[in-house]
This record gives sequence, C-alpha cells and structure tokens, in this order.
Amino acid sequence: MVGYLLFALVPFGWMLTASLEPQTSPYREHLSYLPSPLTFSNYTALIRADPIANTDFPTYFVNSLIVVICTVILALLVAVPAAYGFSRYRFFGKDVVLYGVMLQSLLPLVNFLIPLYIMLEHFDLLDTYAALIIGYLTFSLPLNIWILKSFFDGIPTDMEMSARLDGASAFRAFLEIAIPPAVPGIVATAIFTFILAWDEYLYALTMISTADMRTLPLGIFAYFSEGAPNWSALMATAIAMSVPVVVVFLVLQKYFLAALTKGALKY
Amino acid sequence: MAVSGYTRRQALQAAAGAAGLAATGVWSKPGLAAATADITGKLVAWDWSDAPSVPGVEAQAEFYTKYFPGMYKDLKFSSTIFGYTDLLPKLTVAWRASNQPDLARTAIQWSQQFVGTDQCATITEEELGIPFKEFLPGALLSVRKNGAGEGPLYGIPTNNEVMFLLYNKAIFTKAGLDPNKPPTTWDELAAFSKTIHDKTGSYGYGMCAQQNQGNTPYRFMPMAWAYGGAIFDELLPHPTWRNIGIGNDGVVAALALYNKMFNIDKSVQPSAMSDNQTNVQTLFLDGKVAMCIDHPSFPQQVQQLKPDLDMGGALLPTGPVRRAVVLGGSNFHIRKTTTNKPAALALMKAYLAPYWNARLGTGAGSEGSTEISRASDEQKLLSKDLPFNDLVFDMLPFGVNVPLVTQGAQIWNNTIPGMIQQVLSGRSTPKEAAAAAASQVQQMMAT
Amino acid sequence: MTEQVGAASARAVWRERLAGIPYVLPAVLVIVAVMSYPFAYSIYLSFQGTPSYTTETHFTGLANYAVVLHDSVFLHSLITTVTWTIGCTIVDIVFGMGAAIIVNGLRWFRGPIRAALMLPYIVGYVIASYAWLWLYQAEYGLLNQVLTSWNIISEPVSLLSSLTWALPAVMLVNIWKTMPFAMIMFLAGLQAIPEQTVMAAELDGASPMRIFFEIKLPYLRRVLVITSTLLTFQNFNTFTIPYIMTSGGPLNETEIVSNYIYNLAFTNLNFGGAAAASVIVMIGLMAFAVVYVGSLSRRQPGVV
Repeated sequence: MVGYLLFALVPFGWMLTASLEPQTSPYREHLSYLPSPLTFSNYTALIRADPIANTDFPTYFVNSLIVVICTVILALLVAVPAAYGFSRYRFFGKDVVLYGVMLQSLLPLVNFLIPLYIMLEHFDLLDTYAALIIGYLTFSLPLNIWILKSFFDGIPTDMEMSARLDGASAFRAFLEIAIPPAVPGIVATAIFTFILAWDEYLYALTMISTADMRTLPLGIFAYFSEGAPNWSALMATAIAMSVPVVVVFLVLQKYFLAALTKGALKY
Repeated sequence: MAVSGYTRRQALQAAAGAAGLAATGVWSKPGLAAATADITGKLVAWDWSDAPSVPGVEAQAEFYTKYFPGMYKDLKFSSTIFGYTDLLPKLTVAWRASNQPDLARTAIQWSQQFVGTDQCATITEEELGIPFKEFLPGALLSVRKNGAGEGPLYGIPTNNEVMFLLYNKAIFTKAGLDPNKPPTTWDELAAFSKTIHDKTGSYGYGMCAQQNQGNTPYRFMPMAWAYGGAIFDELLPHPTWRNIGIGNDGVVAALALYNKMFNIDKSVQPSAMSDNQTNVQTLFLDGKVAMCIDHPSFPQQVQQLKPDLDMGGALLPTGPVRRAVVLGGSNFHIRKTTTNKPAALALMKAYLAPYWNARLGTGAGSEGSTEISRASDEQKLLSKDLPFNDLVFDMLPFGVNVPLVTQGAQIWNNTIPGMIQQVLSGRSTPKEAAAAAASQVQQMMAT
Repeated sequence: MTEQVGAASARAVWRERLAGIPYVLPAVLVIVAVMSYPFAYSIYLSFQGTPSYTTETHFTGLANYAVVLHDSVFLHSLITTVTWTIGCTIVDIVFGMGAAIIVNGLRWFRGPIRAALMLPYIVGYVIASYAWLWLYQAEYGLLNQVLTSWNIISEPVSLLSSLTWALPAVMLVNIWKTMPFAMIMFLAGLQAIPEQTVMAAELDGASPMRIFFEIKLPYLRRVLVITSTLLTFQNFNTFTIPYIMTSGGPLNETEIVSNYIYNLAFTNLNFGGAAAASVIVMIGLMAFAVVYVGSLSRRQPGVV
C-alpha cells in the first residue's frame, strides 16, 4: 500500500514544491523536498489576468467550468435514456446502432479536426462555448452509454414490470423506477465526463482562437513558447487546475463507488 | 516578472505620444505611419509571442490593444496572440477552411507552407508604401512562391534575426580558458567543449537534438554549411531548390563532429536527444552548460533571471568553407480570400513603420525587417539596452535560408533531426545517415 | 379469438419494438449530426492525393493506403502502439486489481486513501504529462536527484533520450494515469461479491489465494471484460502524453499511431495520408473489438 501511495502521490508532491518556489529556484544543485525559498507568488499571480504574459487564469477557469458543466448535464440527458433504451428494448438494427455509436470512439480525433472546424465555421459556432459543448458531448457519449447500459443491464426488470402492470406508462416506469437505483451509475458517468472535458486539449485548441474563450488546458500551453519555461508558474497553474476536479470527485465519491457496487456489477 | 526599465517607462510614454499623433495622422514624428482615414470593416489578426519573461512582449500587447485600434476607430479589430507551438496547426486548419484570420505573422520557416499552396494574397510595393529594397534579400526569397528569386511577394518580412554563440565566462575561466577568447571555428568549439567537461563539472556545449523539433536544425545547419554542406542549393545567390545537396561531404563532416562531441568526448549533455532549446536554456541558466547557440532574445532572459551570470557572446564559429547562420525571422501574410485587404495593409504599414518595427523587432529579440528601422534612432536607443545586439547585426549578412519549399517543414523538423539522431544513437555512421536523408528528400520532392 | 389475440400481440410486439426508439434517438441524432460529415470527409479524403504544394486534391484511389502501409515509420508506430496498449493495459489491470484488493481490505482511512490513489486519473493527461516531464528532467528532476544522491548512478540519466528507456518511461506515465480507473472498477466489483460465499469458503479453511482465484475471480469476470475493453481502446488512442513529453522521439521510439497521424497531417501536410492511416487504424480496432468482445461474451452470455 505504501508503494502504491508513494507512486501515486510523489509526482504531486514534486509539483507542489516547484509551484511554491520563485521562478529560478527549481534549477537547483541539491536535492530538497521542501520549497526553498517558500513563496506563494505563483498562486497569487493566478488571480489576476496578465495581458503581458498572455495568461488569464480566472477567465480560463470560468470558461472551463461553463463548458464542462453544460457538457455533463447534456451528456446525462442524452446518455441515460439512450442506455436505458439499449438495455431494455429490442428494435430494428439495435446492434448495428449500438456498435455504430461505439465505433465513433475508435477513431483518433486528429483526423476530424479539419472537417469539424469547417462544420462549426459554417454554422458560425467557432470560438463559442457551444462548439466545445457539442464536441465533448459527442465524444463522451460512447463511454457513457456503455457504462450506463451495463448498469441498467444489471438492474432487474421486475419492479418496472410490476409498475407497468399497475398501469404506469413505460416512460414513468423509466423515470421513477429504473432511474433511482441507477443514480450512482449516473453519478459515475458524470464524473467521467467531467474529467474528460476538463482536460481536453486538441479539440479546444483547434476550435478556440480568441484568448478570452480559452479553456484551462490551452492556458497551460501558453507557458511553453520559445523561451525558458517558467516551471514554477506552470506547476502552480496545473495544481490550481486540478482543484475543482478533485473537489467534485471527493464530494461525489461515495455515490460513485456505491454506484459501481450496487449497479451493473450486482451478481 | 520584472521587465527591463526602458521598455516599461518609455513604452508608456511612447504609447501616449504615438496614440495622439496617430489620431492626427501626421508623419512628422519620425518613425510612425500615417493613418489612412477610410479604413472600416472587420479585421482579425493573429500573432505569436515569446514566453512571458522576454521584455518587449509588452510592446506587442501595446501595439495590438492600444496603438493600432486607436489609429482606426471605425475598424472592428480583434487580435489573438498565441504561443509559438499553437499558432501553426491553428493557422493551417483555419486557412484550409478559408476562415479568419485575415492577417497572420508566421515564423519564416512556416511561410512556404502557405505561400507555396497559394493561400496568400500578393502584395505590391504601391500597396505597401515601402520600397522592397528595404528588406533583406534572403527574407524576400522566403515570401516568394517556392523561394524564387523574382516574382510577386506573398508576404512581407516583419523582423529578421540570426543566432549567435553565447557562453559562460565563469566556466571558461574555471576550465583554464581565456574568457575573452571564445572559439572561432567549429573544431575549436568541440575542443573547448572537451576541455570544459574534463576540467570542470559542467558540460561544454549544449546541444539540441530533439526530433520533430525546429530548434534542432537551427543549430546543426550552420555547422553543416560551414563545412560546405547544404540541403539544396540554398548557398547559391539564386537557389533553385532543386538540387539536393544533403548527402554531401559537408553534411557528413558536421555529423561526424556532432558524433565526436556527443559519443566520443561526451562533452555534451546526455539528454541532447530529447532536449529542445528551452531545455538547453534551462541548463545554461544554471551553469550546467557552458556554451549554447541561441536567439538574441535569450540573453535578455538571462539578464532578468540570472543577472549574475557573466555572459560572453561571439559570432557563430567558421568552418573550413565559410561562416553561416540560419536566417530567421517572421513574415506577415494576408489570406488570399480576405475581404478587407486595405485594413490588413494598414496594419502592416503601422507595424513596419520604423518606430514600431524597431521596437517590435527588438522586442521579439531580433531586428526590424527594414533597413530604415535598423538605422533608426529608435533602434539605436533599444540596442543600447540589449546585450550583444551588435553581434546580431554583424551576423546578419551570413544568413542562409531554410528550405523554401512546401515540403520544407517536413525536411526541417523531421528529416534533419532524424538524421542527427541516427548518428548520435549510434545506429548509423554519418555517411549512411546523410545518404538516407538524401534519398528521403529526393522522394519527398518527387511528389 | 386466437386470431384477435395473435393480432393484438403482434401489434404489441410491434409497438414494443418501436417504443425503444425515442429513448435512443437523441443520442443517435447527436452522433449522426456531428460525426457523419467528418466521418464521410475522412473516408473521402483517404482516397484523395493531397500534395503539399496545393490545397486542391485529386482522386488517387488506394495510393494513400499503399504509401502508408509501406511507410516503415507507420509500421513502427503500429508496433509501438500495440506494445504500449498491451503493456499499459496489462499492468493497469494487474496493479489495479492489487490496489483494489488492498483497499478493499482496509479498515481505516479507506476513503482518503482511495481518493489519494484516484488523483492521477482525475487530474487528466495534460497535467500528468507535465508533472512527469518535470520529474524525469535530467538535471533537476526528482528521479535523477534521488538516483544520484543515493549513488545508484554516477551521472544523471535522461530516460527520455534513451532509445531503450524512452518508451517504458512514457508508458509508466500512462500507467500512472490510467491504473486508478482499473482500481476503482475492480474495487466496485470486489465490493459487490456476496459476503456469504466468501465467508463460507473462509470457514471451510480455504487459503486467501484460493479464495481469490477460485471464488472471487469468476465473479469479477464481467468487470474484467468491461474494464479491459475500455482501457484497451482508451490506451490505443492516447495522444497527449507522447506529444507533450517527447514529440514522438527519440528516433520515433515513442511515436504512437495518433502522433504519427498528427505529424502526417500537420508537418508533412499529407492530409490524405493521415485519413488513410486513420481508416486503417479504425478497421484494425473494429476487427479487434469484434473478435475480442465476441469471444468473451460467448463464454459468458449477457456480458455486453
């Protein structure tokens, strides 16, 4: 266990140390686990936008937050019914459609950058939240549908059947009987989607061209240009960028685990 | 994030003055362009900037956010400044979709990608209002289709620069070398590197040999050219970009010298194959590497980050045949399908006027692209504050072009580093590697 | 009577068959709307020649495919990618399972430890790449500082420059990032195993190893399939880690297929070739998916 913990946490410790030092300190001769000299200036610098350095952490943060929250909400609205549909119903070409949905996740994104760009440009959606939300929604669907479907597959249908016999419509059965036990699974997909969208770089790079629409991953890349990079500031930004995701996970992790336990993996 | 005193204080003054003058549209203050009254519509411009600690990045921010918009109040202007690595893929995608920006500043080695594929608008002398003889001939080659010696221009050089040799005087002294006598030939550089490594704990020469990276050939080619090697016929006064020279003896000799330094003397940092220029800069800043070849902007950074590092500068070493350096810089290009060419031209005129050209050029660590700006008072003022600025001026005449063909990026970023790595890793001999590279280039040019 | 019932049930079946569609429709619409043009465009482009000196394309049939399949760099990147995928996935599963077992057995601090172990997965690829880049740094990175100060090696070593060590080094980063995913899936699986069965075996005196392999593992089969499939596809299509850390070098040792395609498109400006390579990759993955998932689900029906 100690091994696992060390492996997982040491890189973060190293990042943290670098982030708490001024710019030139990381270039050091001797080994030192603690920051020296200690300074919070990298973090305080994040609070303000810096037009010279071409960084604007608050704006990027807000952009990322908006995009990711909308993506998660939409993804759930679309994926949950879809997974339910694939799980419970048989219909024409079901397998074909199911595999078609999954197929999309097999392809490297690099290839689609230009056509997607052209499409978004045609609808005047470049440099908008919508562009990113649509993209992330689409990219996350296969994984979400797959996981949710496994969940629904693991939930026995007896309760829904008896509700239907009692006269409830299929849709009500879905909403009130099937969803509650699946809530943990829904939470799990929400977390996965959050992580996916928060960290995405390549698609955002292509579709966003104005500085004030940038998301956090694009902001981090601004530190790497032609000159010697400011490792301390970079690490500070990286850590600050991780905070919301970690918070979300910590808050929801109970549901997350309960979900996986009681849901699809019920035997 | 300290910035040099001159830039901030005088920049603010200049901005205040300039904005006022621009509004009246008077050319009386030397170095500023006259405002053309009837520029309207929309204009989108993209540019790139160095990492934040380079002074003069402020000048860029000021030009795009205060000065130029202030000149043309009726123009809906928006600009974005990207990181160096972000701009190229974005511009490729954007212009292939025939979308904004209208105007973009690209590094010189990217230009042919857009010029050669007919994505740029032509610009005439009348339109620009600046005589073309103001620009360096090599720079002009880079904005003509396929590097031709004559013909219409598809872009305009904004600034030009060359690299030079930077070294750490303290380490030289420690190794018993005279700190005021930097190496004058490439062989001497290798010898000094060995001495430094043997006598002190530091590495002698900081080598960039990362794959898929433009920095790598920027340092290698000067050596290859110095030994008489070449990629095509870029050393001729009128290159045709047809004759492939990469397999020749000069290149082989240069590869052999790289091999000697890295594998035999081991006087180069061991991480060279995964190091790009930012890694080497980090090492130089910390005194782990005594010599490196870098952009003029780097000494400015050193001054800020490590003021007590005693730097020495020198022209790039010569070889048996010549002294050479890569002609670097940037060019402005206007998208062929733009709807607001007058506005784009107005921006270029403002950028290229001597005052801004000097400030923005030197701010980017290089020189303004026009003769006028390099000779201007502004330039003289700026040069005083910039370490080794005179060296850059002295090296300019030795500038040689990057491959000015559309396959140039592939050759520059892929083939040459690949060739170097084959030798450094011991997989091929210099002769074999050069021959392999030659056949690769031949294949590329055949399509 | 029977005919009426027959007709009614036929209609009911028909309605049942249609009833599922509205649920699935939004998702299908989204995917079709967003991805059909890019998909079609990519396939179209793979049959077009895209010379670097013009933005126009012309039909060249299978030429792009031929060129790509003959390109030693592409083939090398395929091998690298397969190595990467298999290596990372197997290590992910083995160590993920180990971690899950340990965490499952913890009595104290289970929550915080679980959260701490999940951190690498949560923070994303970009941050993982930069954190390890900094760690592997030859002169200042933690790895070298530790190794030299404990005198294991005398001079700092640059893993990312070494032809033999670069790939494992980068794979380690990927493992660091994806192992928590495996762990959490297995943890959930373990917690879902019925207590009674395990307790009965323990009372019978079976050793922990036997309990694990003969009792628990069969229950975990479903999770194993799901996790390994998801991990395989996710690992195969990684882009960010090699892109940020090594740009595919040294000498293409860390260039996996997605990097190859990116370079082909944006450095060599060969968009047709990139499209062809993508289609080849897609066909390969599809074949793999059909074979792999098909064979596994045949052994245990109802898995997928």
